[in-house]
Amino acid sequence: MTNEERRDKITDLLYGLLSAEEAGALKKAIDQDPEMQEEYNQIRMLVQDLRQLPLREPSLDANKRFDQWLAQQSVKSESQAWSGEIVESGNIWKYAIAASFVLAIGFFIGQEFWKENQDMVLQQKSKETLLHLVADNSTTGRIAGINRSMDMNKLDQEVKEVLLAVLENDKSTNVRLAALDALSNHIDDPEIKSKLIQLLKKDTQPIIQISIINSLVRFKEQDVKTTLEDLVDQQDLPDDVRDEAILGITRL
Amino acid sequence: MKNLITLILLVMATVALAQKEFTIDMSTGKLNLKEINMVTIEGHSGQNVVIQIDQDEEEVNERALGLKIINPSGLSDNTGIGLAYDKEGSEATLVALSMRSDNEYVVKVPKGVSVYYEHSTHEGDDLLIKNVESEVEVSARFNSVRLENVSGPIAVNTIHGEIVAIFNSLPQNNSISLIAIHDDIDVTVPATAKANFHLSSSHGEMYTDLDLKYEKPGDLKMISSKKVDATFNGGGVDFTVRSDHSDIYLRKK
Repeated sequence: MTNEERRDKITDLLYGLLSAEEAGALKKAIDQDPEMQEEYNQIRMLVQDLRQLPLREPSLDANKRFDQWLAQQSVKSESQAWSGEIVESGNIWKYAIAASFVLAIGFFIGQEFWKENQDMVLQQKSKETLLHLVADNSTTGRIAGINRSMDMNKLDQEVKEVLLAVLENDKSTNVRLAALDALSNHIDDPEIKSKLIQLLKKDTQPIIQISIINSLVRFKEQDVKTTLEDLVDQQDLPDDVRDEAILGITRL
Repeated sequence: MKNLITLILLVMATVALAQKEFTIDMSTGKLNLKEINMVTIEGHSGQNVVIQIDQDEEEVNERALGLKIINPSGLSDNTGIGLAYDKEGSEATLVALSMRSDNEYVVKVPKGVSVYYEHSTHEGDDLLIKNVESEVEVSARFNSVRLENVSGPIAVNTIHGEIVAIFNSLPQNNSISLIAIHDDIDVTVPATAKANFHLSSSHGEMYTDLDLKYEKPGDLKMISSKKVDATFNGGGVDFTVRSDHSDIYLRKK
């Protein structure tokens, strides 16, 4: 132990800062060493003198300087707190990326919602136009109405039934062909496929029969083969319809 | 000299025989033409529908002179040109009585009269429609159809004939639909025309020199690779062109 370390220990002893064990060990050493006893007595007297000094109020300048120091410390502390937070949070970039990701998802969902909403508006408008125009007096007006079904990704039941009725009953073959074309885009619908097969068996317009055959064959509907084979066997079938049915069978 | 005069008189008599005409007083409404094998339909500025016949000498059946043709539907020639005429409301109808007639009819229609032509037998021949401004509808089986400078909405279908359509301008009201099952469709439109084309050819090819903007692949409307939706000049009238077994030609003027 150096002299300086020994003086520090003695000071701590006098201020009661040592543990009981340390204090006992240090007192024993002091008792056994006259040089240390002399040093201990000098420090004890100095501490007593210090304790007897009166308390003094700080001057105004001292207060001012203290306030300035405090302010500086406060700024420093804030600055340290910020940088500490950056280091501690690990990582504001992670937060920024996460926030951006959330915003992007929100934007995407919003955009999809807007698009879906626009599609719904368009489809509703197309449906209204279709339902209005299928009652038009002119052939080309009714076809224009039916063409609005092209704006619809899926036909709702009302539109489907209207198109099937037009296909079956309209007086114009051109309008019927337009309805068939519109329905053919949704031939994966079992109801539509079933109706087309029924109509193929009973219709008497060659171009309607031929077009139904081509619609069914174009979409590779294997279960149509039996229907076509039955059709070919009909005695009163027009030759061009029979030829189309035979061609269809070979393509299935 | 006598022989020359006789010849001239005979020619004049033949011409007189060949130029027959029937007039219908109508400037609006609809004219239905049924089972007329060969016909040219023209728009004109008059106020009546005028049907003219270019009847060649071979068509005169001397054995049938003085007799009436028996029609399965009970129709009779009340026009003097081999057609049965009827009018109901705003619609006038002319039906050919002879299935095998080679008569070439020319039908002139006012601007306000729309036309419907229908033919169902293999006797159907060339059908020419030009300068008509009202709606034209054709439902044929063996006829080939040629449209020239037709400016009204159009709907044409034929099973075995071809369709040629040359437009000076595209009508923008209602729709245009051209369907031929077994033969080509050849369409010429002005470079500035506006249209939404719906093209399909299951077993043929489609050719064009138009700058078409196609719908995105994968769209439901592109369910078949041979079915194409495309806009021209930003889109306009709905224009369907379909040939199941032959080619489609879409060209600009």
